[in-house]
Amino acid sequence: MRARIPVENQDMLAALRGFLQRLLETEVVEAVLVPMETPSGAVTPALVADPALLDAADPLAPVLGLNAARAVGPVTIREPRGRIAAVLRPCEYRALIELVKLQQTSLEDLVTVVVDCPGTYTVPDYQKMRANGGVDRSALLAGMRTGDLASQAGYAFRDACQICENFAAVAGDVRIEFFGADLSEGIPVVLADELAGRLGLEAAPEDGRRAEAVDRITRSRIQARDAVFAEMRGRLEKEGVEGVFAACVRCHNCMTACPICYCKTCLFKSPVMEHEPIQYMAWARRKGAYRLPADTMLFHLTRLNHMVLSCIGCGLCTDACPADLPVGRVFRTVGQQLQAVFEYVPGRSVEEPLPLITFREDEWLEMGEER
Amino acid sequence: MKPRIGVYICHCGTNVAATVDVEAVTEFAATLPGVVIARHYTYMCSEPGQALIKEDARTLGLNRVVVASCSPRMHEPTFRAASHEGGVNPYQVEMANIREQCSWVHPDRHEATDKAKALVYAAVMKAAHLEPLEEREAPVTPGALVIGGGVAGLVAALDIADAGFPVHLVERSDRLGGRVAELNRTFPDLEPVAEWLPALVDQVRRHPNITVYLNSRVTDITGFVGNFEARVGPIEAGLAPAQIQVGAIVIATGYNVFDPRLKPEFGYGIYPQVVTTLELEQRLSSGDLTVNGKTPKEVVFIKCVGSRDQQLGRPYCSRVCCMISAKQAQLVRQALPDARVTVFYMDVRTFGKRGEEFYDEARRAGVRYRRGNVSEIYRRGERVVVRVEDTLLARTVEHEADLVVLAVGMEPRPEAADIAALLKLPRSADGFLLEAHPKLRPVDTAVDGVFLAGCCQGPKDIPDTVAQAKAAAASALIPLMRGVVPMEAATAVVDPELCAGCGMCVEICPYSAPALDPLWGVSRVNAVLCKGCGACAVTCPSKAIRLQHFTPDQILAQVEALVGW
Amino acid sequence: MSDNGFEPKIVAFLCNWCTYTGADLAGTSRIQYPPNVRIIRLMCTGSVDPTYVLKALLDGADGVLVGGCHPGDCHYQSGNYKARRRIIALKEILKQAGLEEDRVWLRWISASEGQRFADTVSQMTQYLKEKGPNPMKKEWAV
Repeated sequence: MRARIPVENQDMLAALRGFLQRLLETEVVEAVLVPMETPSGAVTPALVADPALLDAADPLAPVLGLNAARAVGPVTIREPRGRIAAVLRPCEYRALIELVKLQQTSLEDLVTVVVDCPGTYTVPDYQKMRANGGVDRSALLAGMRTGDLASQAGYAFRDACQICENFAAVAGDVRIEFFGADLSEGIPVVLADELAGRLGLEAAPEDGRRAEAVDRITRSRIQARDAVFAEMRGRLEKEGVEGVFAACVRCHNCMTACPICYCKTCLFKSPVMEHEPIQYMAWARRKGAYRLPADTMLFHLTRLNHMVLSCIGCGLCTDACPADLPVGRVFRTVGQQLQAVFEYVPGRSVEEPLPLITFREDEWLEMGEER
Repeated sequence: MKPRIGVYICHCGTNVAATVDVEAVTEFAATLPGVVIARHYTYMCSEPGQALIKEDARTLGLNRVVVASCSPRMHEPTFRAASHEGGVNPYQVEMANIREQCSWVHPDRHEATDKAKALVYAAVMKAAHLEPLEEREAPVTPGALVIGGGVAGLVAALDIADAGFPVHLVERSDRLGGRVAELNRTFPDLEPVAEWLPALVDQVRRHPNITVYLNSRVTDITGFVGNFEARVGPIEAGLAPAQIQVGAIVIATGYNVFDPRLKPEFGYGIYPQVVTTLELEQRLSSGDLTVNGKTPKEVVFIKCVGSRDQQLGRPYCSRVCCMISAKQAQLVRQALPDARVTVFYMDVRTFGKRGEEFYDEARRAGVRYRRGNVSEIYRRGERVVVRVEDTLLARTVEHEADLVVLAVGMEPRPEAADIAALLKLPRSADGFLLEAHPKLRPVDTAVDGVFLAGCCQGPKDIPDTVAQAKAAAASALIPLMRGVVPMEAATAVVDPELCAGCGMCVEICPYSAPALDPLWGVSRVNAVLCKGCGACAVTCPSKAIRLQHFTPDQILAQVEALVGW
Repeated sequence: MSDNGFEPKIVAFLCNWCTYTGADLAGTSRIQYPPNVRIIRLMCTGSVDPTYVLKALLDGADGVLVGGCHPGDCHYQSGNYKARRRIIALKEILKQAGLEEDRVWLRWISASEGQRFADTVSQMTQYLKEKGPNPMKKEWAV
């Protein structure tokens, strides 16, 4: 049902903190995984068991330094575990769904709280903003109401957020809806009747402007996205992936930041990809020169192959790249095509099987039969 | 261990040597990393050829052998055995196929030699990465499960029981004997079924090694060859299911007859004059052939009802209907000497021992055979009219009859699909259970330790059913009598340090070989179930699971050699 | 030999049960085809890792042929269906990444189709000759 989280003194953050505290006090959950502000002003996910500490919870901080789906895994993966609520952005929720399919996390004993997202800044930008006059949150909230979202003057949203068309909370056990909302009556929230009852929330009418605001932002994001896709396709066609990723320094940060890359040890750090010294000589002789470390493009192409179908577009790979490579853009551009081929929407539903571990007999029947 | 590789280039008489410069290839092989010795010889597969390998392996301390000769599909076992005798692990033997895929298809000597070098290079590179593997065995639970209490199941159960193993025989109905118990006499000898079937059933019932479960069905099967566990549930609720352990399974679930109501133009179920061959068996048993209280004067048989019918999705021949028709036509002639008996047929296929003679006997007994396709049957007074397109005269005729017998074909029983689903058994397009190989493994299935007997595999007569049942029993006895089953050596293995427990290998394996260890959250492979296809290894992004003998480093080494040369 | 003298190098990943045996049949039937193909035997197309194909292409192979059993005929029930999806995904990635997906061919060739195997190699060799060498052959910075 749809209800409203009561707000006092226009303080949205306090209202959300209060909501999370209610989850703990009513023993719906034993802990809340939520972005917290550290004493030094950084924002990081933490598992909060003490309701009093939720005063430092900051689910509205417009910064994304890591995908919290990654943090949910270790605390849910096996029994015994606690009952927890995880406060997630839509891209984090989608990553979580993919990680459920990959058995890296579990939805058991988990209440997902998905919050509408206006867009986020990189960690360095966010810190700069804090140091130079602060983050204008009311402007963001106002923009979410009207659908006219703009980043703070002098700053830009993260590259991935600028082209994100899946910014609204559309799934999850609890959906906190800021888009189009008149917050004077409280923050709209969608949740199961039973849960609402336990939290003492009453049904509230939909105020009807959400779709309009979401639609408005979606259109502009898709426009931006398609421009990026077109530009990226042009570059890939012209330069190839080897051109676009030419400046790669093989730090593997993209892989580390990626919420979906779940391997304990990447194939490219394993003995399989170690070669005999004489092999390098053979390659150098054959091609005249040989890029080191070896297999850089193989790394990127294999990573595409392994997980582009599950790429949910959080763009943390781009932020993590010391060489400023458009990793996320490449993944989203390639991902859009490939996901369409298999009619797969990553992060939509745990019921949708990963495309490469399933098949239908009656598909692509002409393939392989060419004469 | 540092690779010490011996390379052997086979001339195969002139098959290789006429096109490939074997000396040049040998010289080249000697320069490759890890190669200790490279030789060429007229016939590597001959005794002296194999002796070369054994001798070198011992004296030079080889730990890898590469043979460049024919297809590994031909002589890999030969060279594995020879190398093994010389002290080299048989799985550290690699072959370069320079005959089928080189000398026999590339006539240019320079090109063929060049390609042979590339293939040898790749084989040497792979060999250097090969790991020793061990062929292991798993113990077998003595005992068999036979599903189906018809003739096939009875015969199979009896043979296995006679060999000294416990047999669990599960039958859905309340009696043994299956479809044959519904028959009167059998072709081509016209022997009454009553003269032999009750004795067979009795033998089974009294056999100390056979436990019969009537009114029961198999509801669950887990495990693998040598170690199956099955749940046998009574069809009536309230009785406790039995849990049984066996080493092998024989499926003998039989067939259903085609329901002629699916051909409404024949009026079956509407006109009392129209019956099936199975119903006529019962009438012949009772001796009452009257229709509406009258003795028939005109009897018609129609063949291929529900067989060889593309439109009905039954394109296959049911194999027995021609003989059943010939048999019943003769019996009707004997019972009703005044009646005229006509058989309408597409083709007469009375193959098999005494088949053609039996067909002749039917004709000599006065049965009239007429080639024609029956288009419909309708009522006219007390009789029915069979409307036939005479395909020899190319005209339509109407044939009045007092009794019309539809020679109905066989079709798979729906229960066979349930068993197939339990065991992940493939079925052929017609729905019958699929044998592992149409010629060489006709009673085996894709699942080791599971065998087929009788009409669950396809239509057949009683002698063929019994032959297949005895074959299935003999095949099932192989693991039971050996007491152990060999395990595929080149199976998948998991490195638990690398495994992240995503379970994709579990999802993709058609044999349920990998499973997630609930305690450690990592995948583990049951080597007995693994067939070594390698599908799991591809799904694993970190290669925590890999197929031995085809590991990524081995294959990448081959790729490098083939691209690099 | 082609006019320009370019001889493409084709690495073939063939399944043991169908296409590898089909290639053997081409041999026993003495059906000639260009020597440009070099075969790696795998048990099943379901075990053809796209990384192998990528490695071959980045190393400079002019073409990669993946050959397996016709749909419905897989020795391991469904390996070829899985391979089909993987190769489709791989080719789409190659296309999107600005690499030449038409250098990768998937063909179902049964153990009895020796002629089809030979024809496929001939076709592919001719196609690649016309297309020209894989630019990756000279690309050192990959």
